[in-house]
Amino acid sequence: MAIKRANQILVCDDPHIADIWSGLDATFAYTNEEVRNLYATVKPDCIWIAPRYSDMLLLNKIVGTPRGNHCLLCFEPTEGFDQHYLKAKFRLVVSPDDGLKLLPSKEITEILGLPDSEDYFIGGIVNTANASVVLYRGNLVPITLPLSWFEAGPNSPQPIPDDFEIIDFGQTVRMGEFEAGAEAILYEFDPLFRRRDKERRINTDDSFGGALRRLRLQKGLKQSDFSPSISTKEIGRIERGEVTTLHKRTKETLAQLLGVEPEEIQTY
Amino acid sequence: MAFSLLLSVSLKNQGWQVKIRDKEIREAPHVTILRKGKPWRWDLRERQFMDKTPAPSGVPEQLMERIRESYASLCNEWDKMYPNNPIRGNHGDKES
Repeated sequence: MAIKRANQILVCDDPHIADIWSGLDATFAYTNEEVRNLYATVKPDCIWIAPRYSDMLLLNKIVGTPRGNHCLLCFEPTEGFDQHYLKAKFRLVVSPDDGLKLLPSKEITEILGLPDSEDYFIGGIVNTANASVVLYRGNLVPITLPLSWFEAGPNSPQPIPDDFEIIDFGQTVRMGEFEAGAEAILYEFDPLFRRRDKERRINTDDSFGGALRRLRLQKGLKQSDFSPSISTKEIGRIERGEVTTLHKRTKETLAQLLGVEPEEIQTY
Repeated sequence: MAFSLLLSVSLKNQGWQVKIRDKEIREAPHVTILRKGKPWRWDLRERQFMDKTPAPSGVPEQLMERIRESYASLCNEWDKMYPNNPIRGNHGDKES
């Protein structure tokens, strides 16, 4: 049993079934003993994956005190399994219990193999009683948001919480005909995602506004340094791409203040 | 509803989708092209891809042709869904 990917372990009591999961870059464990040994020795923040209920039974010989922050992903309900035992061994158990909906296992497998798996959702549940939605990311970490966030726009359909599912390989949350992108949700509710996204956009933005921003920063200027010729607000709008038609005179003023030729701005 | 562009059977069978999703409140007008775990965003104002990754070359020309021939209806759909952020913009440097 070679330990492959350091933080994913697939437990399965049937090697033939395990073949279905061979695309997963995980360590495979087929016996109680292998599971017990891995639990005692691997990094303490692994994702354990049990495709079937019978595979979960491989977990029930782990003894001793709990280690670290192991999480467990089960594709079948854990109903009937000793919940206290699971909670004692795993910080988090994600399974299709109590109405939680998971993506198809094939799609989850692909997400688990992605370097940015945390930017995808693998499952979730709507709690209408407290008007919240819990979404589980590809690293199994949950994110909770208010149901009210899914408020429809003027010409959008009303979200239907009873008709909820994650679709498009974890990239879309659907409620009835209403669909919201995972990126829009993470941007709003995860500051770390927001920071990563911002860095990525700044580095890859080919627009005039993006070039202007990079050039301005390179020159060590603030948006307010262009006033009174061009207001701080207007510079912000140009950089965000909100100004669709830039007047020649404005571009010339920008170039003059930045010390470049007007046609050069876009090249930064 | 989230708008989904009708695609040919062959593109659909390959898993391609083109959508304008709800709640795209912070973005420039765009469509999202989806296939399996990959999303590409195509700017409806600039008529170009918004991101360098995934590589735009990963989207087949047949699909891009479909988007270009549907450009007017995609713009209409966006404007209907996001009247406060229309394709032609409702603000800015309007001197020219």
